[in-house]
Amino acid sequence: MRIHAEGLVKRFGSFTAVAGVDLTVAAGEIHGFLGPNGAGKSTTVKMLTGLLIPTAGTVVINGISLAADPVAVKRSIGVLPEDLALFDALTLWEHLTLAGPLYGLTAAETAERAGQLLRYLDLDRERHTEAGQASFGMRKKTAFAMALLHNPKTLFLDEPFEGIDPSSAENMRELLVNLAAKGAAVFITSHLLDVVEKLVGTYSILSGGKVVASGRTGERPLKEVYFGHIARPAAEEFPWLG
Amino acid sequence: MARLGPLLGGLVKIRWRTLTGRSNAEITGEVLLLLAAALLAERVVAYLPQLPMRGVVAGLAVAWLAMSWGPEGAPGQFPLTRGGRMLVRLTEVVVNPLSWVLFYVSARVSPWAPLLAGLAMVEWPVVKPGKRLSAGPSRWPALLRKDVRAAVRLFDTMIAGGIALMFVAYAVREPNMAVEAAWIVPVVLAISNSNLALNAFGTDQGTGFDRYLLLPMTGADIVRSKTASLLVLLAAPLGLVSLVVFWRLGWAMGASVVLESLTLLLLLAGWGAWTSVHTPYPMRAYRFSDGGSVFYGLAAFALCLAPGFAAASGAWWLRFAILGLAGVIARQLMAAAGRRLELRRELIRARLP
Repeated sequence: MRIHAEGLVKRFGSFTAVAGVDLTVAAGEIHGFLGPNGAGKSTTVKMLTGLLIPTAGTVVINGISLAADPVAVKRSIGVLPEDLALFDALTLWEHLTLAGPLYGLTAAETAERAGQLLRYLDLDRERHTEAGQASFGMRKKTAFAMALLHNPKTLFLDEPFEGIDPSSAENMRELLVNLAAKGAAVFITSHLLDVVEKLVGTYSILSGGKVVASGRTGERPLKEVYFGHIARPAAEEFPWLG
Repeated sequence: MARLGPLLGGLVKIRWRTLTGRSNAEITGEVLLLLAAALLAERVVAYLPQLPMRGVVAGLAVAWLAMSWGPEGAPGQFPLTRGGRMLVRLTEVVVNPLSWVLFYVSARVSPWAPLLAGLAMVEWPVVKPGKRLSAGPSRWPALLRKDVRAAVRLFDTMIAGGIALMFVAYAVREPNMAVEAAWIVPVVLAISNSNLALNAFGTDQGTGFDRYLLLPMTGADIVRSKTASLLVLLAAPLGLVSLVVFWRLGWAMGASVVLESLTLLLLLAGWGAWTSVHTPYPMRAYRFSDGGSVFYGLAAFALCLAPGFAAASGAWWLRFAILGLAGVIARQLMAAAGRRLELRRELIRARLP
């Protein structure tokens, strides 16, 4: 198993954001982690990637316990976090050249891979723009490239396609499918049900900090499963609008 | 005016909450530290205008005029007339307590300084949207380069650089320069940069701190990277001052200032690392940093004074003893800070926007 989490709980004071999540994602699998705003998706991803310390539960990634050896886990994963985690004072290119050596790549390997990723994600012309001055989409694509640069065994992507132009989003999807075909596990959170349904093989739906449904895509339409568990606010008329 | 009311009220509320969100002791401590640093600087500049408030008023006027001509910032997003925008910008300056401290302190140095400070408050001469700023040496490790690049955009660092250059100008102009200046200036430089040491993650903000946590680095690695950046930043002005002292006052005094500078670097590295993981605060480019709690600030102030007193005493054994002690303090506190960073990462992250 690439991702194995058991009994994950996260409390912030008296508020329980995640209330006992169990997850298993195998090698070569793309797993969609779905749910409404505030369901606890990002909090779960943060616990799986070491940004947050679980109140309870265990996380094992690529066979390594996150609590026992966090640095080894971080070296084996790639993460596109919710807030992108970029440094305003570094250029897009510098982010990649910063990351490569820290993951054990040589300067030449880093430059070659970084150049290829930036070209494929249509960031080449803006490579010398500082992240603080780059658009949201450029920043997100840079964070995505950073996540892939060291060829991770497991990839965590928090809302990877939101704010991305269609051609780059298509290229990102291709990269993810190829990566999974070579044995990596990909864990994606998203609100875009149509996109997720075409991309993922398995899914979990989170609501109120708990997994309320999980399964394989193709068995039942994802929208049907999703809205079977997540209630929509009732339709209303807006006579003052328009 | 009716439309402007809520906007102006919002600005005042933001300032008020900035003040009331922190303890009075913290605010008082910061102001005291700034004034103390200015008073120490007076020993070097040896010039005190009789009516500093005159400069404060002039500086406010300049800031207002210049800001009204600047590019449209946040107020520009509202449907305001030109007059309305000017009024909002004036309010921004007047309700900012930092304006008053900045202008007061600068007026103590020179009657012209508030005018320069007023101009410095205007972002457009230094930050134009899309303008590329100094990239810094490209061969430095990226994390170090990133910290140095962010730090040189803080007024704290600019002022330290300005003090170092003022000292060089004084030494060039005055062949018989005061010996006291040689040991006071490194202390002033260290104090004026102490906010940077005490808020190591301040320039990264929360998202940058997240990246540190995602990279395969231990807490100790992160602290070492931050310390290296601080040492580079402080070594530049301190090195310049040391060279000038060697030139004007001879080898003995020069060596004394080098020892004093090394001690200051070690003390700030250790205490800064410890404080950064205990009371992290955000720092904004082209603004003075917010600073930490008054206890940590005053402790840094006291620590920075120790090497100065040792240098002033003339006793070499005392200078070496304090250097050794500073080395031990730096080593222990940095190691402890690395461990604490891993345990307190959520608290640190929560304090950074």
